Amino acid sequence: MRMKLFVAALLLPVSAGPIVAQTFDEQAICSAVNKPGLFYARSQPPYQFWPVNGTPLAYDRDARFVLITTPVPSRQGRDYEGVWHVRSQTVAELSKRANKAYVYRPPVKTRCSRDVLPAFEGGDRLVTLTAYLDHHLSDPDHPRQKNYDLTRRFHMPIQDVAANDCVWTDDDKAFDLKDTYGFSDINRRDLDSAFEVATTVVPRAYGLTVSYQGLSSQFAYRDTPNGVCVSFASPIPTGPVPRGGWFSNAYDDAMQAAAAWKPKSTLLVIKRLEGRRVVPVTSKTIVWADR
Amino acid sequence: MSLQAGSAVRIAPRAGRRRWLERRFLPINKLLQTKWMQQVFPKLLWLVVPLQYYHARQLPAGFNIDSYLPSAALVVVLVASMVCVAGIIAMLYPRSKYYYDAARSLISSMLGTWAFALALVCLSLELTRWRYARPSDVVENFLCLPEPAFCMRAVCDSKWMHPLLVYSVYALTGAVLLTMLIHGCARIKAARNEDFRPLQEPNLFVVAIVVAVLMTFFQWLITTGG
Repeated sequence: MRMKLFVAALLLPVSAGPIVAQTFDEQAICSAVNKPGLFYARSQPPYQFWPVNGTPLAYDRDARFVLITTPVPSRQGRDYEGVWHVRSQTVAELSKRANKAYVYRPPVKTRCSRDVLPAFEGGDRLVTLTAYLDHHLSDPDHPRQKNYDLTRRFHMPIQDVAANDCVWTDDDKAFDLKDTYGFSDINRRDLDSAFEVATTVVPRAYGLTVSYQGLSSQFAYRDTPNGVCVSFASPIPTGPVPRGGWFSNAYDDAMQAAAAWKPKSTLLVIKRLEGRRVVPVTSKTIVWADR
Repeated sequence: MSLQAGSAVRIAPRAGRRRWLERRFLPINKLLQTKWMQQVFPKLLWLVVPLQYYHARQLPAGFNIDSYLPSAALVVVLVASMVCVAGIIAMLYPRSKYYYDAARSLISSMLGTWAFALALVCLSLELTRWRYARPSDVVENFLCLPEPAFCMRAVCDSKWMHPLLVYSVYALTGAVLLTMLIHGCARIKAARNEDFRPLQEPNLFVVAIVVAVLMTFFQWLITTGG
């Protein structure tokens, strides 16, 4: 009996990890909002929503940013696909500097992809910040190898209607990757791997005064850019957070930490990709109401 | 019967997997038998220090450009872990009368294969960097396309099997090149070691797979956390 209790106590931290269900019905949220613009909407009924217009918003880890575009009559010939990239950089109180970034796009089949492209699953959505920055050429003087998973599970091939060909959204010849996907005010050289930290005698002095506690980079895809509704996840802490259990995944841990998170402001930048052309949609600083 | 350079001790034919494992492809005896080769080859291992620094710098989420001390520490850790792993495997393979002989044979084979594999990885990165202004891995680009073939999808989408596959190709090529180099150098007439004692040579594939597993682990060690 004692032995059983001992084994149960050992296994408790493994099994009692937080089960964070972030299920939402995007269609229902879009129907509730049902007007063009950028909104912050709760993901559960009755789907309350607020316009993103500068007034302070109440943070909810499960809420979604919803972008609804105006319907435009289709032009002659085939239109571009609707490809939006959203980057968020959040400053929060009492949490550690982000060393990862929440990176996600749902599984997608584009006009140019052969099959459905997979998405990052669970904990893999929190990508090491250095890997993300290196993939997007954040230190252009010292370009590094691309990260295969970021190409396959985050980026996608899209159609360039004008050039009548296909281009991957992380093609460094077609796009200025740093400008399009990079995080502003974050210097790659300020970031070290765990091994570098462990074997450096003198800790590195950070060059920048701004520090972000939550970083995210997300894609949304529709076959057309007009009259559609897309949604993006709310910011979450992407710095070191307490572990939920021995085998808990990083995303569940971040969601657990987000419950008590106190974000102050978020820089939200939305761009649309029209083939090789990057069109700025909006850039807003969201102020979060005190929790 | 006197032992000639690179000659194998006659053993009775055995069946299947055992016989495959006992085919000694990595000619460590040839290397140890010739005096100049035994002196020069271990010194060449020092080349892994700049190679590893270069490799750690080119990997996504790798080291910063000014991480000289971590790079030196890394090489010490990598060589030590390779020696430890080889030492453990040597308890079982290759079968030898003395443990020290088995360990010596496996350690030298693994270090040599690793050095060659690392040189090939760096060559691939440097050539692509020179050609396309951004380094990339030619083996990875060939085996795992962004939309891989159906048969490759499971491996390419796997977190561990993907680097293991790529490093296996490099390690196997490295082991073959090392074998060819030793055979080529052994043709040069030179003084022989007086105190040479033949070792059980390890199988080339076994060495390559163990080195590939370790290189996968090294990559994780370099790029993890932050």
